[in-house]
Amino acid sequence: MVWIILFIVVVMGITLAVLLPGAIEDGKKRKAALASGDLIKRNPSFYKDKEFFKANIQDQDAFFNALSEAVKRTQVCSFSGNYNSSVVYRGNRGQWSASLVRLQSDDGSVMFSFGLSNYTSGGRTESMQLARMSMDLNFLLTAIEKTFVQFDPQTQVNVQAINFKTHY
Amino acid sequence: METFGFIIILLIIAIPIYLLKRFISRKISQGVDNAFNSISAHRKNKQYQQQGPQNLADRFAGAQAQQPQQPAQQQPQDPQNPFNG
Repeated sequence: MVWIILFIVVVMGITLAVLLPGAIEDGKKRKAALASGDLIKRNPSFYKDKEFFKANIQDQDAFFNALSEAVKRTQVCSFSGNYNSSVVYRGNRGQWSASLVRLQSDDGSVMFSFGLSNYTSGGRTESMQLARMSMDLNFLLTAIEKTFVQFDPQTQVNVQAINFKTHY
Repeated sequence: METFGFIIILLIIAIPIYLLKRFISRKISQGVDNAFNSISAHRKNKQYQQQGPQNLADRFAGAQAQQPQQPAQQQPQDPQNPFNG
């Protein structure tokens, strides 16, 4: 009996030793990013929303380059695609992907929608995975938003809740 | 030999029951998740439609000043493209 208890304590200790430093590091990173403006404090369920941006941008090539650079600087994801149609971002930590899709506009303005496309979670560290995904997505979204504001301070944003489907 | 046969029969009965239970449980869980999410999304969208488009720069100004944003009065009409109409 004593051995079983000892075994459980050792397993719990190892789990904490592995997970705790990562969580503490994430906390410090988040605090620093909030102070520097690289992150915005958002609603905890912001990842369930889709954002629609509408901006008047003259030099679109410069805008797309700036957007790519801003996303690269976040170091939270890799991306593929073309800003003239759609770009897919894949998270470096955890299994998530988000997309920035260019929409048709009648008045010559630049319109994009941004939202989480896919997120896979599971296991005993599910809440930790969700917190990581949420923080990384926040870094990405903040970088995109800042670039929009940099090129057009009058950028309009509209939000819609995503009707997610769960699959096992 | 008899014990071995008994264990085999037990496994033949138990494994399909376990798989069926897991399948039903997951389907129920999936259905409940999707129903709750659908209701929540519908409720949030009603709220977002009332708010209408906002100035993106306000988010950064709001984050710095720690003040709530003032919602605009304009209402979108097309759910797929909230800026049109």
